[in-house]
Amino acid sequence: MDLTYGKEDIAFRQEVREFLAEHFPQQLADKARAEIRFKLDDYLLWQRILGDKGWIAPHWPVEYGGCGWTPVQLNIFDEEVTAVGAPRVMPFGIRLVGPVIYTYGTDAQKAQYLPRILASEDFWCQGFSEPGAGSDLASLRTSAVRDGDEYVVNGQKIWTSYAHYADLIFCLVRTDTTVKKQLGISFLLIDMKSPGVSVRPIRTLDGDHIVNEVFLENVRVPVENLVGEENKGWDYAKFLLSNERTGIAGIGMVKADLARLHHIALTERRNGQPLIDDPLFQARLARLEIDRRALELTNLRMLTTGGDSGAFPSILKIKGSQLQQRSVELQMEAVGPYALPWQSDAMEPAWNGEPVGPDHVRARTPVYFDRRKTTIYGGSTEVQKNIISKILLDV
Amino acid sequence: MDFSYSDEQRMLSESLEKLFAGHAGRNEDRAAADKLWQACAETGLIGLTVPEDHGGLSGGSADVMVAAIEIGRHGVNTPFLSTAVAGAGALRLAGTDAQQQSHLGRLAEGGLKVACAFAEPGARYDLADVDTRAIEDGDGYVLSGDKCVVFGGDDADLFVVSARAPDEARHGAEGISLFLVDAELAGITRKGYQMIDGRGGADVTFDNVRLPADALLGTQGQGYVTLEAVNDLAAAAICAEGLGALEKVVELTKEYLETRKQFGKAIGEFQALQHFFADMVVDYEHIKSLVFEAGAIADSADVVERQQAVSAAKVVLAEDGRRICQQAIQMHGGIGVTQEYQLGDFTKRVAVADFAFGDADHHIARYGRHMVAAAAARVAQNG
Repeated sequence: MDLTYGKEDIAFRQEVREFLAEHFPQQLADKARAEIRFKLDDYLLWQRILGDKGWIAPHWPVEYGGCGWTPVQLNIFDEEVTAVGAPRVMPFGIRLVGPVIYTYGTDAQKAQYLPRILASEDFWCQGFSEPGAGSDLASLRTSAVRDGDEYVVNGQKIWTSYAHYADLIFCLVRTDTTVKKQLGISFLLIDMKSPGVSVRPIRTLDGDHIVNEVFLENVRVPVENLVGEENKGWDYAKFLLSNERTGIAGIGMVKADLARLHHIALTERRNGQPLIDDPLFQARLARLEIDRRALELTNLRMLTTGGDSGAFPSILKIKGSQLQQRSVELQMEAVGPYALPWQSDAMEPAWNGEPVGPDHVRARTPVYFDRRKTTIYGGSTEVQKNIISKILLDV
Repeated sequence: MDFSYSDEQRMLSESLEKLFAGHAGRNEDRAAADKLWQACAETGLIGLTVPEDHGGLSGGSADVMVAAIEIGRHGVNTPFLSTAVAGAGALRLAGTDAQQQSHLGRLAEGGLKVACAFAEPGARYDLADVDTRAIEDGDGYVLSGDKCVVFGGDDADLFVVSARAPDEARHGAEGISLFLVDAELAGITRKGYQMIDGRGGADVTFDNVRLPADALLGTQGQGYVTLEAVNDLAAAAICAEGLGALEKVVELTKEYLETRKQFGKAIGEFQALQHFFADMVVDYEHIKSLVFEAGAIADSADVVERQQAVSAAKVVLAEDGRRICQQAIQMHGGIGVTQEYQLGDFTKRVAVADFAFGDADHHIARYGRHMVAAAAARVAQNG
């Protein structure tokens, strides 16, 4: 038992820090500090810098462009990148569809898609959820009917993040309606520019536009865009979702949130002294820090030992998503009455109005409302609890 | 970065598993308890942290954690924590060669039970709140004062007592001295009792107890650092006991959910209970990580690191561990509130870990102080 980082890991962290000091663009650092929302160009700028360095998909197998880092090093990389405020690498290509393609795809699909994912030439989005298929994902109804060398796809997807940026969407579609619902699903790659695809924005509580509805009307998709075997899509989806849950604890994000919270609590005052010295506030912040510490260690324990059971990704997702909410909740409480002015627009890069209050108050309430999504997406807390008890309880 | 047991730790854990099998803590009579204590000595458990020169195994706080988890899992009552962790710790950290020579060997053999008498009525968990007085008198001292809830105090042979000179204010880290006090000396009265989980404790009164000069443990007036260090060793160890007990609580609940039938099916098929159970597992795994960290660095020379790790573990064990026990009793229904069923024994052990060596509020406050100091240091550094 030795809970300290080894020499190689310390050297690795230093290497990442030096790279970031040299290559993380100042304009993005400034935006992060001012809490201005990143847009497509920002994401692409950063992803292409990482791509040039060969660090865009470090967790992939080396033969497909991965870095061969240990789980602990992957975690260090994530921590350091998040600590400087870098835009999140969009997970849809790198984390979600990429591994499905190199695991189940044909050689032609690998050759066509993987290099473009690594170079951030294609922006992907994820077509899983439907209006009638949320937690019960397998009940999805978007249909794909074979017609010669093509599938004809009809249906609707929802909560599709960044569909308005996307070049491609990977979709779960129903190819057999006569069998058990899990056994009639296929995994299809669809060009967003295909005739019959349309996107409608959904504004979320924070005022931002990230998620969308995607409508598919008689969209013709070549059969070579099927991944793996027809009607085996549910297996690939489960594989993909298990990858989605790893890393979803968002430890880097929680640490960044808490660093900001410390700054706010040193600046704000209560009873004439810094808020951080107020015993009630201090106790709540300390409890949050302790939970962050527990999450971080539990993540490292899972990474280094594989965890004691297959329930670990769900355990981390539940705790991590809750912490991502509590950290910004306490940030919001820390600014007191300045939580009240609604300044979501001030987070837009194009905005040039006059902000209300100190710089650190603008984003508080919008971010609080935005984070309500974390216990819902990627399998809600309740779905994770179902998974945990299914794995651990023999009933 | 390695969370797994070393080969030696795995062997220790397995040998204790064998040793403790069949020992139900609360029902044991005195003779059985003495026999178990001797068996503990033979496996090396009592001398776990005693230096090899004095007949021990020279183990560290991580080894203590491994042992304490087994103690908690099996619900055995031994003076391990008071003697082998706190008592041995105080002697190791502050004892002169002569003091170590005369005490540690006997301790490791199971022939000397030690209890640390630090806490006082009205002081709660503040180790710097000391109203016990040691008056210098000729070559020695005269000791007077009241100590309370002393772990292992009911049958200790030797007390480690914190005291200060008569002219000082009772509160403050400065000026505290530690003394080794033979429990048979005239002027000592102890009121022994069982704690929540059946382990022994006592309130002890020292009334003009005459001590020889060599009773002083460590440097006069500078005992506070040792007090804190010993308290952290004990706190980390009792967290590990609590973790072992929680493991059983989760296990018993799992078995009950799988076997108890109502409405024609196993109650573990009901989603309300499944989600309760998942909550327990999520909390348990996070407690475990922090208890491991506390165990790994409870004897670290880096005081800030040590205190943060121990306080973090203590807080989650107290708050989240308590909630796990409450949920477990709830899910067991009627059987969960009976004295006969073993679940109660383990939840009571967690309750002891909850209130011993600083409760959640005490440790949140200490964690918070370090947190604020670190934040201020960052600001000073970055401008």
